[in-house]
Amino acid sequence: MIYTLFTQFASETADAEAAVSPVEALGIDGKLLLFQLVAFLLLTWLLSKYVFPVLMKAVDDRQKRIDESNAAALEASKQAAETEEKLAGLLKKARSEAADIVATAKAEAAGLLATSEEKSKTQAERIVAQAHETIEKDVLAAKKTLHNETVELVAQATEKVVGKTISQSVDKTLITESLKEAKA
Amino acid sequence: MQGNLSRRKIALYVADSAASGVVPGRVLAEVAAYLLESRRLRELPLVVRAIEEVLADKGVVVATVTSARTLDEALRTRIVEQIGAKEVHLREVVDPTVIGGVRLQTPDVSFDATVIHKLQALRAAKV
Repeated sequence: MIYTLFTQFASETADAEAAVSPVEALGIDGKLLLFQLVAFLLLTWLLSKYVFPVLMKAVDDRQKRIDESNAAALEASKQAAETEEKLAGLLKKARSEAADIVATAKAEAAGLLATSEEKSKTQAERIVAQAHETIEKDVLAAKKTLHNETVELVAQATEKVVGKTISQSVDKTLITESLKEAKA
Repeated sequence: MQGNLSRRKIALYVADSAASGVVPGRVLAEVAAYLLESRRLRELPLVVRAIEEVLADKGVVVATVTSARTLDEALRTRIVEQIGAKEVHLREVVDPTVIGGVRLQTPDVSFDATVIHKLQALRAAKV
Protein backbone atom coordinates (compact mmCIF):
# COMPACT_ATOMS: atom_id res chain seq x y z
CA MET A 1 0.00 0.00 0.00
CA ILE A 2 2.69 2.35 1.05
CA TYR A 3 4.67 1.40 -1.99
CA THR A 4 1.75 2.26 -4.18
CA LEU A 5 1.41 5.69 -2.61
CA PHE A 6 5.13 6.57 -3.19
CA THR A 7 4.97 5.46 -6.83
CA GLN A 8 1.95 7.54 -7.48
CA PHE A 9 3.46 10.64 -5.87
CA ALA A 10 6.67 10.33 -7.95
CA SER A 11 4.72 9.96 -11.10
CA GLU A 12 2.74 13.11 -10.53
CA THR A 13 5.88 15.14 -9.68
CA ALA A 14 7.62 14.08 -12.83
CA ASP A 15 4.71 15.18 -14.86
CA ALA A 16 4.72 18.64 -13.32
CA GLU A 17 8.49 19.20 -13.99
CA ALA A 18 8.22 18.25 -17.58
CA ALA A 19 5.88 21.23 -18.17
CA VAL A 20 8.60 24.12 -17.54
CA SER A 21 11.92 25.06 -19.40
CA PRO A 22 15.18 23.55 -18.26
CA VAL A 23 16.55 26.94 -17.00
CA GLU A 24 13.39 27.55 -15.11
CA ALA A 25 13.47 24.05 -13.97
CA LEU A 26 16.87 24.84 -12.40
CA GLY A 27 15.31 27.86 -10.62
CA ILE A 28 17.43 30.49 -12.52
CA ASP A 29 15.96 33.88 -13.31
CA GLY A 30 17.29 35.03 -16.70
CA LYS A 31 16.77 38.70 -16.16
CA LEU A 32 18.33 38.59 -12.79
CA LEU A 33 21.22 36.66 -14.20
CA LEU A 34 21.77 39.28 -16.87
CA PHE A 35 21.58 42.05 -14.36
CA GLN A 36 24.07 40.34 -12.15
CA LEU A 37 26.41 39.79 -15.08
CA VAL A 38 26.30 43.46 -16.03
CA ALA A 39 26.87 44.46 -12.44
CA PHE A 40 29.77 42.06 -12.18
CA LEU A 41 31.39 43.43 -15.32
CA LEU A 42 30.85 46.98 -14.16
CA LEU A 43 32.37 46.17 -10.81
CA THR A 44 35.28 44.44 -12.50
CA TRP A 45 35.85 47.44 -14.72
CA LEU A 46 35.72 49.84 -11.78
CA LEU A 47 38.09 47.74 -9.74
CA SER A 48 40.51 47.36 -12.64
CA LYS A 49 40.34 51.10 -13.31
CA TYR A 50 40.62 52.57 -9.85
CA VAL A 51 41.41 49.97 -7.21
CA PHE A 52 43.70 47.39 -8.77
CA PRO A 53 46.29 49.92 -10.00
CA VAL A 54 46.60 51.37 -6.50
CA LEU A 55 46.82 47.96 -4.98
CA MET A 56 49.32 46.80 -7.60
CA LYS A 57 51.35 49.93 -7.08
CA ALA A 58 51.37 49.30 -3.37
CA VAL A 59 52.30 45.70 -3.96
CA ASP A 60 55.03 46.73 -6.38
CA ASP A 61 56.32 49.29 -3.94
CA ARG A 62 56.31 46.77 -1.20
CA GLN A 63 58.06 44.28 -3.46
CA LYS A 64 60.56 46.97 -4.33
CA ARG A 65 61.15 47.73 -0.70
CA ILE A 66 61.50 44.06 0.03
CA ASP A 67 64.01 43.73 -2.76
CA GLU A 68 65.88 46.79 -1.49
CA SER A 69 65.77 45.38 1.99
CA ASN A 70 67.08 42.08 0.73
CA ALA A 71 69.83 43.89 -1.18
CA ALA A 72 70.60 45.97 1.89
CA ALA A 73 70.60 42.84 4.03
CA LEU A 74 72.87 41.17 1.54
CA GLU A 75 75.12 44.24 1.51
CA ALA A 76 75.02 44.39 5.27
CA SER A 77 75.89 40.74 5.43
CA LYS A 78 78.72 41.34 3.01
CA GLN A 79 79.86 44.32 5.01
CA ALA A 80 79.52 42.32 8.19
CA ALA A 81 81.71 39.66 6.67
CA GLU A 82 84.22 42.26 5.57
CA THR A 83 84.02 43.90 8.98
CA GLU A 84 84.52 40.56 10.63
CA GLU A 85 87.48 39.94 8.38
CA LYS A 86 88.84 43.39 9.15
CA LEU A 87 88.14 42.82 12.81
CA ALA A 88 90.01 39.55 12.67
CA GLY A 89 92.89 41.33 10.98
CA LEU A 90 92.75 44.12 13.55
CA LEU A 91 92.62 41.59 16.35
CA LYS A 92 95.60 39.79 14.89
CA LYS A 93 97.44 43.06 14.51
CA ALA A 94 96.40 44.13 17.97
CA ARG A 95 97.58 40.83 19.40
CA SER A 96 100.85 41.24 17.59
CA GLU A 97 101.22 44.80 18.81
CA ALA A 98 100.23 43.73 22.30
CA ALA A 99 102.86 41.02 22.17
CA ASP A 100 105.39 43.58 20.97
CA ILE A 101 104.33 45.98 23.73
CA VAL A 102 104.61 43.25 26.32
CA ALA A 103 108.01 42.26 24.99
CA THR A 104 109.12 45.91 24.96
CA ALA A 105 107.72 46.43 28.43
CA LYS A 106 109.57 43.35 29.66
CA ALA A 107 112.76 44.56 28.05
CA GLU A 108 112.31 48.04 29.51
CA ALA A 109 111.45 46.57 32.90
CA ALA A 110 114.57 44.47 32.73
CA GLY A 111 116.55 47.54 31.72
CA LEU A 112 115.02 49.59 34.51
CA LEU A 113 115.72 46.82 36.96
CA ALA A 114 119.32 46.65 35.82
CA THR A 115 119.61 50.42 36.00
CA SER A 116 118.03 50.47 39.44
CA GLU A 117 120.35 47.76 40.62
CA GLU A 118 123.31 49.67 39.23
CA LYS A 119 122.12 52.87 40.88
CA SER A 120 121.51 51.08 44.15
CA LYS A 121 124.93 49.52 43.96
CA THR A 122 126.55 52.87 43.19
CA GLN A 123 124.63 54.57 45.96
CA ALA A 124 125.52 51.84 48.41
CA GLU A 125 129.18 52.13 47.45
CA ARG A 126 128.99 55.90 47.83
CA ILE A 127 127.36 55.56 51.25
CA VAL A 128 130.01 53.08 52.31
CA ALA A 129 132.75 55.39 51.01
CA GLN A 130 131.21 58.32 52.89
CA ALA A 131 130.94 56.21 56.00
CA HIS A 132 134.61 55.26 55.65
CA GLU A 133 135.53 58.88 55.11
CA THR A 134 133.50 59.96 58.12
CA ILE A 135 135.07 57.25 60.24
CA GLU A 136 138.53 58.27 59.08
CA LYS A 137 137.77 61.89 59.90
CA ASP A 138 136.41 60.91 63.28
CA VAL A 139 139.44 58.77 63.97
CA LEU A 140 141.74 61.58 62.87
CA ALA A 141 139.85 64.06 65.04
CA ALA A 142 140.01 61.65 67.95
CA LYS A 143 143.75 61.22 67.39
CA LYS A 144 144.21 64.99 67.31
CA THR A 145 142.14 65.40 70.44
CA LEU A 146 144.09 62.65 72.16
CA HIS A 147 147.37 64.17 71.01
CA ASN A 148 146.39 67.64 72.20
CA GLU A 149 145.11 66.38 75.51
CA THR A 150 148.30 64.36 75.97
CA VAL A 151 150.40 67.41 75.16
CA GLU A 152 148.40 69.52 77.59
CA LEU A 153 148.68 66.88 80.30
CA VAL A 154 152.42 66.54 79.73
CA ALA A 155 152.81 70.32 79.83
CA GLN A 156 150.77 70.63 83.01
CA ALA A 157 152.55 67.72 84.68
CA THR A 158 155.95 69.01 83.63
CA GLU A 159 155.11 72.50 84.86
CA LYS A 160 154.05 71.21 88.26
CA VAL A 161 156.79 68.62 88.69
CA VAL A 162 159.62 70.74 87.35
CA GLY A 163 158.43 73.80 89.25
CA LYS A 164 158.68 71.87 92.50
CA THR A 165 161.81 69.86 91.81
CA ILE A 166 164.10 72.26 90.03
CA SER A 167 166.84 73.49 92.34
CA GLN A 168 169.22 76.42 92.24
CA SER A 169 172.05 74.27 90.87
CA VAL A 170 169.83 72.64 88.28
CA ASP A 171 168.57 76.04 87.23
CA LYS A 172 172.13 77.31 86.93
CA THR A 173 173.11 74.33 84.82
CA LEU A 174 170.05 74.91 82.68
CA ILE A 175 170.90 78.56 82.16
CA THR A 176 174.52 77.73 81.33
CA GLU A 177 173.52 75.11 78.80
CA SER A 178 171.02 77.48 77.26
CA LEU A 179 173.64 80.21 76.90
CA LYS A 180 176.01 77.70 75.30
CA GLU A 181 173.37 76.64 72.83
CA ALA A 182 172.53 80.24 72.04
CA LYS A 183 176.19 81.07 71.44
CA ALA A 184 176.57 78.09 69.18
CA MET B 1 164.76 121.52 74.90
CA GLN B 2 162.36 122.47 72.15
CA GLY B 3 158.82 121.11 71.91
CA ASN B 4 157.73 118.14 69.79
CA LEU B 5 161.10 116.48 69.72
CA SER B 6 161.14 113.01 68.31
CA ARG B 7 161.94 110.07 70.53
CA ARG B 8 165.07 109.46 68.51
CA LYS B 9 166.33 112.97 69.18
CA ILE B 10 165.59 112.68 72.87
CA ALA B 11 167.46 109.38 72.96
CA LEU B 12 170.46 110.87 71.12
CA TYR B 13 170.49 113.80 73.55
CA VAL B 14 170.53 111.46 76.53
CA ALA B 15 173.22 109.23 75.02
CA ASP B 16 175.43 112.19 74.06
CA SER B 17 175.02 113.74 77.50
CA ALA B 18 175.98 110.48 79.18
CA ALA B 19 178.98 110.13 76.89
CA SER B 20 180.10 113.67 77.66
CA GLY B 21 180.10 112.98 81.37
CA VAL B 22 176.95 114.76 82.42
CA VAL B 23 175.35 113.28 85.48
CA PRO B 24 172.75 110.81 84.21
CA GLY B 25 170.26 111.69 86.89
CA ARG B 26 170.19 115.29 85.78
CA VAL B 27 169.68 114.39 82.11
CA LEU B 28 166.92 111.98 82.95
CA ALA B 29 165.26 114.60 85.10
CA GLU B 30 165.34 116.99 82.13
CA VAL B 31 163.77 114.37 79.89
CA ALA B 32 161.12 113.59 82.46
CA ALA B 33 160.33 117.28 82.85
CA TYR B 34 160.13 117.70 79.10
CA LEU B 35 157.77 114.77 78.68
CA LEU B 36 155.63 116.04 81.54
CA GLU B 37 155.47 119.53 80.11
CA SER B 38 154.70 118.34 76.58
CA ARG B 39 152.12 115.90 77.95
CA ARG B 40 153.96 112.89 76.50
CA LEU B 41 154.43 110.88 79.64
CA ARG B 42 152.65 107.95 78.01
CA GLU B 43 155.61 107.69 75.65
CA LEU B 44 158.02 107.11 78.49
CA PRO B 45 158.54 103.35 77.87
CA LEU B 46 159.10 104.04 74.18
CA VAL B 47 161.56 106.82 74.99
CA VAL B 48 163.46 104.51 77.32
CA ARG B 49 163.60 101.89 74.61
CA ALA B 50 164.83 104.46 72.10
CA ILE B 51 167.53 105.52 74.54
CA GLU B 52 168.59 101.89 74.96
CA GLU B 53 168.74 101.43 71.19
CA VAL B 54 170.93 104.51 70.77
CA LEU B 55 173.17 103.39 73.61
CA ALA B 56 173.39 99.93 72.04
CA ASP B 57 174.58 101.55 68.81
CA LYS B 58 177.29 103.17 70.85
CA GLY B 59 178.29 99.88 72.46
CA VAL B 60 176.41 100.33 75.72
CA VAL B 61 173.80 97.59 76.07
CA VAL B 62 171.06 97.50 78.66
CA ALA B 63 169.88 93.90 78.90
CA THR B 64 166.83 92.64 80.75
CA VAL B 65 167.45 89.24 82.27
CA THR B 66 164.47 87.32 83.61
CA SER B 67 164.95 84.19 85.70
CA ALA B 68 163.12 82.22 88.35
CA ARG B 69 165.89 82.77 90.90
CA THR B 70 168.49 85.41 91.60
CA LEU B 71 171.53 85.05 89.35
CA ASP B 72 174.93 84.51 90.93
CA GLU B 73 178.00 86.40 89.85
CA ALA B 74 179.26 83.65 87.59
CA LEU B 75 176.05 83.61 85.62
CA ARG B 76 176.03 87.40 85.34
CA THR B 77 179.55 87.30 83.97
CA ARG B 78 178.59 84.57 81.57
CA ILE B 79 175.61 86.57 80.35
CA VAL B 80 177.69 89.72 79.92
CA GLU B 81 180.20 87.74 77.92
CA GLN B 82 177.37 86.28 75.93
CA ILE B 83 176.12 89.74 74.99
CA GLY B 84 179.64 90.74 73.99
CA ALA B 85 179.20 94.53 74.08
CA LYS B 86 181.71 97.16 75.20
CA GLU B 87 179.60 97.99 78.21
CA VAL B 88 176.71 95.92 79.53
CA HIS B 89 174.16 96.86 82.14
CA LEU B 90 171.94 94.06 83.40
CA ARG B 91 168.36 94.72 84.47
CA GLU B 92 167.56 91.63 86.47
CA VAL B 93 163.98 90.47 86.92
CA VAL B 94 163.11 87.54 89.20
CA ASP B 95 159.91 85.89 88.06
CA PRO B 96 159.11 82.47 89.59
CA THR B 97 156.49 81.80 86.97
CA VAL B 98 159.20 81.12 84.40
CA ILE B 99 160.05 78.02 86.55
CA GLY B 100 163.64 77.80 85.30
CA GLY B 101 166.09 78.96 82.68
CA VAL B 102 166.65 82.52 81.57
CA ARG B 103 165.11 85.11 79.25
CA LEU B 104 167.48 87.69 77.81
CA GLN B 105 166.27 90.83 76.05
CA THR B 106 168.44 93.51 74.49
CA PRO B 107 167.51 96.16 71.93
CA ASP B 108 168.92 93.92 69.23
CA VAL B 109 168.45 90.40 70.53
CA SER B 110 165.69 88.55 72.29
CA PHE B 111 166.47 85.12 73.66
CA ASP B 112 164.10 83.02 75.73
CA ALA B 113 165.35 79.77 77.29
CA THR B 114 162.92 79.58 80.16
CA VAL B 115 161.08 76.41 81.06
CA ILE B 116 157.72 78.14 80.78
CA HIS B 117 158.60 79.23 77.25
CA LYS B 118 159.43 75.66 76.30
CA LEU B 119 156.19 74.45 77.79
CA GLN B 120 154.31 77.14 75.88
CA ALA B 121 156.08 76.02 72.71
CA LEU B 122 154.99 72.48 73.48
CA ARG B 123 151.38 73.62 73.91
CA ALA B 124 151.62 75.58 70.69
CA ALA B 125 152.58 72.38 68.89
CA LYS B 126 149.04 71.09 69.32
CA VAL B 127 147.40 70.06 66.09
